[in-house]
Amino acid sequence: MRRPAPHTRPPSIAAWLVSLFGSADQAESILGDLEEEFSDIASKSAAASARRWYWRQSLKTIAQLAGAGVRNAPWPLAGLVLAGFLLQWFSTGLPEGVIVAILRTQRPYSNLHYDFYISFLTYGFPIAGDIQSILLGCLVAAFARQREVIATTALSFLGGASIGLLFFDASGHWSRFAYSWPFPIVQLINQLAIVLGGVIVREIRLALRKGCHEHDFNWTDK
Amino acid sequence: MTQVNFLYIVEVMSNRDYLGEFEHIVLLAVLRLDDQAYGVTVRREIEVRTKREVSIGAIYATLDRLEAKGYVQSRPGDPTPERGGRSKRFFRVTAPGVSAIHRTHRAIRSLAEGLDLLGSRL
Repeated sequence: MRRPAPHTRPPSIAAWLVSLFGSADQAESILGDLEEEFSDIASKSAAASARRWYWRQSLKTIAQLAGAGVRNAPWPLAGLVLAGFLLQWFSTGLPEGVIVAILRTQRPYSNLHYDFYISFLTYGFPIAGDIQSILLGCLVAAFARQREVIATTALSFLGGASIGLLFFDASGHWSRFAYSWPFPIVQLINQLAIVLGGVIVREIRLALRKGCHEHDFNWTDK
Repeated sequence: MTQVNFLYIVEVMSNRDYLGEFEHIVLLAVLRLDDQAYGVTVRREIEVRTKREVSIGAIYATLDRLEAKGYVQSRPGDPTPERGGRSKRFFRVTAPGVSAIHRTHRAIRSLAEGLDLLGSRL
């Protein structure tokens, strides 16, 4: 069998996405299987078709792993997502409150930091909202062991759906939010920031696990 | 069929835990491959025999469910270079797994008995 060229590697983004779903052991064997088949396909046909195959398999695998993650523990996951949603709901406006409090203590009118004051007001609110969303994602992911990204993705979809309702008023017509273009963009980034929180926790856990394994290996090696 | 009879059959079937269609296919593939059953070989065996494209994720999701039920057991293999240094996970069917296959086959045979399937509109 002809081996693929050394530079023919599976798409790293697809492999990384697969590693975010399912357990660490599952990801190890699945990524190994995908790479084995990728090498086989790349040795028989063009690298581009092998890459397409890898992406197609990866996306199907992510959907299967996410579905299995939900089916294996539906109620704890639903409870966690609901708790995260309520926390998000009740903490709405908290970052704005903190920023206003900071500005009051700084007394920007009496100092010569007017530009800073304006930038802080313009960019501070959305940035603080993103930080809040990342922290919320981290908190939810901390309780969703092995399902960090599934839980935070579900929470961001739920948040996105609830925000989508704001686009319509009681009579079913477009509300004033629909005409304010930065609002949906800021909200979309906030929802993505929740998933980012989940990814951060997942990556930290994988790194710690890898570190523990290497430590055990070194210990048994001595 | 009366509603009471239907509910009785559903109750009996849920207690016996029959295999789902894909669980059945995966278990048979693992059984056929004997000690060479891991993700890649199971996927290929299913594709060759059923002419149906399946994803690695679907195989693992099903095998994990079957392992939780005690129908298969898994063991890690050695890491190999063509897998990027990652190890294989080999599967084998347990005795309860074989019993589940027999039970499901018996139920299907019993249901198909007397039906003229070849003569029907297929």
